Amino acid sequence: MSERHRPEAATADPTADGLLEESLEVLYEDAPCGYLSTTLDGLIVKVNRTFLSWTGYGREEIVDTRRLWELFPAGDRIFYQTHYAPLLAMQGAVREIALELVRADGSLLPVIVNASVQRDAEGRPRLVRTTLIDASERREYERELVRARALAESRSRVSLAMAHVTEGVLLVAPDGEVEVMNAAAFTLLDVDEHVLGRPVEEALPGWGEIVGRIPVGPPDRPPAPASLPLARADRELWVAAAGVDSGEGIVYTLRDLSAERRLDEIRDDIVAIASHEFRTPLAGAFGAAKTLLALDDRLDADTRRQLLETVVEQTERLTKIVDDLLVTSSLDAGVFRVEQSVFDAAGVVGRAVAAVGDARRAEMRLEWEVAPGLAVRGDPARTEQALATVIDNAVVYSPEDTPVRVTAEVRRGHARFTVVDQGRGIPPEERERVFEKFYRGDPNQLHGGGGTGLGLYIAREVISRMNGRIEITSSGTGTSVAVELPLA
Amino acid sequence: MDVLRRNDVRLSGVPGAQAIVFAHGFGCDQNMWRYVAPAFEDRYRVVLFDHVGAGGSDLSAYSRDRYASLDGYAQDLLEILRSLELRGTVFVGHSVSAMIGVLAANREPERFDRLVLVGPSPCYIDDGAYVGGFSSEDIAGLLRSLESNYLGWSSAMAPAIMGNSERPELGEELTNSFCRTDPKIAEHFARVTFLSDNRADLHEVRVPTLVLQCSEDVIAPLDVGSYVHRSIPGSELVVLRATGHCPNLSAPDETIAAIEEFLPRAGTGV
Repeated sequence: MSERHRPEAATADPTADGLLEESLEVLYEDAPCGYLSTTLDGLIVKVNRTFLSWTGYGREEIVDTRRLWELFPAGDRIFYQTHYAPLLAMQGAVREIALELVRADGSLLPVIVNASVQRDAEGRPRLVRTTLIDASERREYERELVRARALAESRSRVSLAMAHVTEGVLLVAPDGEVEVMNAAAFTLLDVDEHVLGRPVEEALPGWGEIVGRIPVGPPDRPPAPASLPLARADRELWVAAAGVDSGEGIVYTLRDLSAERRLDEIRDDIVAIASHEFRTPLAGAFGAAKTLLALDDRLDADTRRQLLETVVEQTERLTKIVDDLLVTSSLDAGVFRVEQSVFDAAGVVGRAVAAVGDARRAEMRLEWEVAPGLAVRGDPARTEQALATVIDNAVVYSPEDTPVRVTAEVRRGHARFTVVDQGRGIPPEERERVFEKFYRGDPNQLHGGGGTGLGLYIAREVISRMNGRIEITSSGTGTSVAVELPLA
Repeated sequence: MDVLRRNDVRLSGVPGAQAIVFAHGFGCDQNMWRYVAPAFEDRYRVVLFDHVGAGGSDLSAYSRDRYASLDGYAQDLLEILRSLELRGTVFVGHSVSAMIGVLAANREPERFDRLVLVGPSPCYIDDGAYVGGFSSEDIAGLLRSLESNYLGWSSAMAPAIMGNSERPELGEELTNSFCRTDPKIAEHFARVTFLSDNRADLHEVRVPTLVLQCSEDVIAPLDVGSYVHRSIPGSELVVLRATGHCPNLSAPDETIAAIEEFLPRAGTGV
């Protein structure tokens, strides 16, 4: 029997040995952690008071009767057998294993368990000493961390998805601050992450002007988007915008309408061509024909002939416009075919020059020179048309008293046709645009030529289908257009 | 794919002798056999390996589809035997690997001369009259326990939580270095293992079989061992004095002796 509960022993022994022994025992019994000693197969042989008070078991209920794993719920028993026990056997110790103890009243106590195998003097394993730490609060904290981590992970997946949505998405908090924006929204609005957390009207240029016109609806009835112009530094950008009021801020979606507006413009161009470019030659031919019909016997031979020529010219012009539209449509549909044959450059240049000279009454301005025997591979009729378009442009867009020079020669292994004028040149920013569909350098038709704005578009497309290319160099004193095709 | 690399197959013992193949159970890796396997190295070709997802296996070979049932693991075992050109082996499977061995032996019996099933259970969950020892709720508890213990608190996070982040060496000490694996794989393997039901496969076994049953094994109780013994035609049942689920660690000598007793008397090997 220990003497530790006899205080007089302590006073009777001023050397304090007894006190020391007693305090070690108290330290064991009332330590802030549970202590257990078990046999190698888990039978509990010693336990401290802390453990008993935590779990509500009486000492006699468990000492020499229960195995450690019997105090765990079933799931932890499996873990004990499949992980804890093998680790202990192999490492001689386990650290920081999270388990739960079933208390006497059936409730669960989360614990962190450390254990080590104790050996006898011969080094044979004898006992397992186990320390248990009450982990109720820590487990709560860990669960919170796990939840936070899962949330953060799912948020990062959401950001990934948002980053790849092609529509701009923008969340404006109830206090008017920009809370979330995806990559498409940054691009559309031409801003970066710095706008996040700032008041929306101050952060997004142009937003204040349009926000009042963006329809906003409840989540179950999102409104149809409205088309609105966003003023940007470089240009005006049209977007389809709509908002949904989530209750915790408004989620706006923005879609770039540039492509659609480009289509709209093309449609407008076609209408313009139909109404203007068709109308003028039709009116000319119709007027001439009607005059002939009404006044036939009262007209002299010259006038009659002039009127008939007008009918022919205007219907030719009409035919050309219809041809251009048909070619464009078959180019766009990918069904346009070019012939691949060998032809003589001189013949093609000669015919193109003659056609333009004839049509524009500009024979005197046109000079041409072709290297003798220059044989080219491609479609002769389409090459002639393309060259005629380029020559016609040069004639129309340069002063009437200046020459237009056409040459053909071998350059760097290709046949190179060059058309040089002495006009005022094409500004650099327009050099690519002249090849766009319906582009007209002279929208006001000041240079009588008119036209569909399809000529150079068709020329480039056709030449590239013959494995050739067109390039423009231009300065204030003239323009040079080169058409390159493969040699035969 | 290199099967031997995938499963971290390790060979020792006598080349050309009859092979004895040890397969680890759920929760650990081939280290489980460290006290048992060496005893066979003087007469047998000893083959150790890790299931994909465990130990030194190639984790990138893990696929939830392939390992959606124990069949995937049985297929791996057969691939290992094929690539080593082994037939007529002694197969020693612990815990879930006992059933993996049964599935493999039913498919290609010629590769197996003897089966030793250590702590086998064909079905862990109670089902009518059948007592597996667990309910589905118990298995859910195991998954929670796995999760708590794979969070990494015991290694990386522990020092931070304990306020010892200024002593990183403490984190090293706290690490449980054996039998670690990817937590997602461990969770999936736990589900596949404990929700498996291979009772019907036991009747098909045609290879001489020893059932090694521990005393007081909570994972595979005596009733389950008896069930396995009754279901496999002609099998033997030996109940070890060893307690718990891992006699290969807690009582290696008794385990070795029981296996040797079952194998033909020194007739094989050199």
